[in-house]
Amino acid sequence: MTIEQKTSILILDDEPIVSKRLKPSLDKNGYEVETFVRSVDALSRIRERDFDIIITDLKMEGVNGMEFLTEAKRRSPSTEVIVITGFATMETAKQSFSKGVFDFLAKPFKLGEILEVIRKADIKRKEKVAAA
Amino acid sequence: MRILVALDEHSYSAGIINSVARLAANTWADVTLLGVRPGGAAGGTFSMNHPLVNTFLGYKDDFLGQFADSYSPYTRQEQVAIGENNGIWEIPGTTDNSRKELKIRIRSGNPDREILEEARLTESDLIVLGCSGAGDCQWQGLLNLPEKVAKDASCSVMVIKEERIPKKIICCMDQPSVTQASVEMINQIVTINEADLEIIGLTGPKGLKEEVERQMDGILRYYMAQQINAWVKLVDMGALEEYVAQVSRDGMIALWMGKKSMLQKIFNRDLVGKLVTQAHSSVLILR
Repeated sequence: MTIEQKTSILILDDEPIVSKRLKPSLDKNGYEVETFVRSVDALSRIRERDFDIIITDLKMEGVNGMEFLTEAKRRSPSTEVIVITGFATMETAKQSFSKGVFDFLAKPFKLGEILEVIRKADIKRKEKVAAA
Repeated sequence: MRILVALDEHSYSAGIINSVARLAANTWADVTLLGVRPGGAAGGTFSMNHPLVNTFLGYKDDFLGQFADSYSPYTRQEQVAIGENNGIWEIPGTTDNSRKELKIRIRSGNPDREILEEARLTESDLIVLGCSGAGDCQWQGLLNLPEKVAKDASCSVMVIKEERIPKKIICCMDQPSVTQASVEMINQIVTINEADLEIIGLTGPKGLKEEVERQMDGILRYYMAQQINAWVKLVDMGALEEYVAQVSRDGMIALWMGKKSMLQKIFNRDLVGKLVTQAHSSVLILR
């Protein structure tokens, strides 16, 4: 019998309320979740281990979200990245997709919307693993 | 973000498509274009040949026409197909593998009830609608519909009066608690319009409530930390209506109207209606 590993998710947002809102729901849906409010801490963490899915804000002090996701994709190209931002522009969306992100969500969004995006990202990731 | 755009067959509805496309282009939103036709026998039979379908296909084309480059979130569905479920007609505007969704939905019944029900069902973050203009804010021939939707929706509502990029967003605040969603909505609107932000604190005979002052200070610091050019202005409750009328000419008025808001009383039904009806600017009701 094989035990399926939980999908691991890293959430990085400098506003604690975002992780506080997302984590319980993701835990409940069977994901393994780690949350960070400082990009420097999240950066250290992705240097220790890979995550299946990363959800990151863009506008943050220190290492910004674009730099963070660039490093995350460089280290682990199979990681699916979902950008969430309160300051969305066409340019930031274009830039994010050019870095290979899975989806781009402007805040505010309902929990149901991001759960659906995470579900699709997880399916895509699993399909890629199965095909490899 | 999910945006519900309530449209009728009048020119003011056609006139908001560019503004909606601009909002959607920046937020990569899922967008529903909603029409409401009269319920029962008054609505007649409905099919692909109904004039409303042609109007909405035109709206869809106008919307997608704003996304010419290869980075469009919306991949156009070339084949037009209409489906029906529980009396609600739907035409997909984008393909299944489109990054973001655009669809047309046609409901029948009481317009304000149907708009609110669609917003609830689709978990919309913002309802956008136009109206016939300053001083005469009608929608589908109903004088108080934008007012009703603005007053009763559980999400934020934007009533677009004219296609104009606001230089300043003027937010009225009188309560100690505001939702995260409303703060985020302001972020987006300010960013998209590259606008300044004026936060109005409402003072009564006893001045500004301490908890409101604390909250305003927190919100101001938050926006300033985000490099938004924001400031606070105190306005006496009695003078608010006049002030709003004065600043609405080159700005967008936003009202934070949560459950605890005194604005519900100041801008009582008649006054909310008055603002939505008479303001020259677009009006954003935040929830």
